[in-house]
Amino acid sequence: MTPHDPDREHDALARWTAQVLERQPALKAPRTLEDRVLAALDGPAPTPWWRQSIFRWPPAARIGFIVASMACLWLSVVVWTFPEFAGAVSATPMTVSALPGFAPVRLLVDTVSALQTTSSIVARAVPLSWWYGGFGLVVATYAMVFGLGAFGYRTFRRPPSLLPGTGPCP
Amino acid sequence: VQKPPTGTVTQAEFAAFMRAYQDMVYSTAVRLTASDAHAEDIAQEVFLKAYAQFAMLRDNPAAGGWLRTVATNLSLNHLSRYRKRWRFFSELANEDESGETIDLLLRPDRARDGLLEDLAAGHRAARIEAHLAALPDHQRVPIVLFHFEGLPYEDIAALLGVSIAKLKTDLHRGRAELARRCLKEGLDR
Repeated sequence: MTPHDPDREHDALARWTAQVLERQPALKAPRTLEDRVLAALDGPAPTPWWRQSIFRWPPAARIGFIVASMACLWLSVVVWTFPEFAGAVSATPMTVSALPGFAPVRLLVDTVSALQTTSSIVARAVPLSWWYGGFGLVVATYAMVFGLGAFGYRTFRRPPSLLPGTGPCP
Repeated sequence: VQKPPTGTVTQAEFAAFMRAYQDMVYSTAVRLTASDAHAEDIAQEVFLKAYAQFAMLRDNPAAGGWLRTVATNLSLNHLSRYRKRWRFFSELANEDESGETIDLLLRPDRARDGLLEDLAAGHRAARIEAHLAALPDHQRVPIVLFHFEGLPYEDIAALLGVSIAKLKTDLHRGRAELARRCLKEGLDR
């Protein structure tokens, strides 16, 4: 029986891999690549950044968007948490609410206020144990779907790609 | 329309440049991403960037290295953008079967089930590429960067944002898994 020597084993494996891979020829680029590149060079202007994924936006635009979103979120939370704020806006004198452009804001505040009233009625009507039960159910369902996803991925995952001209891996 | 490079460039000139390097660029991208569709997209992006820099690259002997670096970086960006979510799943239950594989490699009279001596070289290479592509990202990428791109451990660890110890472990496990798959098919010589 050969004595166990991890360094020797690692070296042997590294040597074997180097020998096998250094003989691998470069893979042939698809014939379509050249046409695609030349067509892209002649093609229409690239999509402007604001129509691309947010991950491709310029950093300043991304930061601005995140700040604006946070501000909207904060405003929603304030309106939701402090009903007197919504009430104060609703009770604004007609002289102010008649200003051009104020009507949509008032409509928004009224809608939020109505939603808040409805949800607080529902929240009071539903027993606390139901809320805990519902929360537990959501967590359990999420965990189950996550577990099933992990199991399915490990069990049925195919190789990411099979190169042209090769069959399925054993 | 792409930003034209400085000086006059004919389409034929750039096409000739592309033909000289496209296999290398595509190979780098497909081995790193293990996806021919994504590799083609990445290769296209590499050449569009090359077009913008064509005045500098045209007669530059370092053009190949530049293209290879851009292809590597774009491929790694692609992997980190689209595959991070799968990393957790990929790294689950990766049994270390390297011991058994190494024993096979070290044994002088190792079994050669179904000797495939007459296997055509092209088919053999394709099978090895397929086995390489089937490795999980965290094993395949270090192998490609080390054995094909010739990068040192330090550079690979920095590129991948992992420690050298983790990199060596992934490399070892990837080599062992590749060897195990190849030995199974008699592709070991």
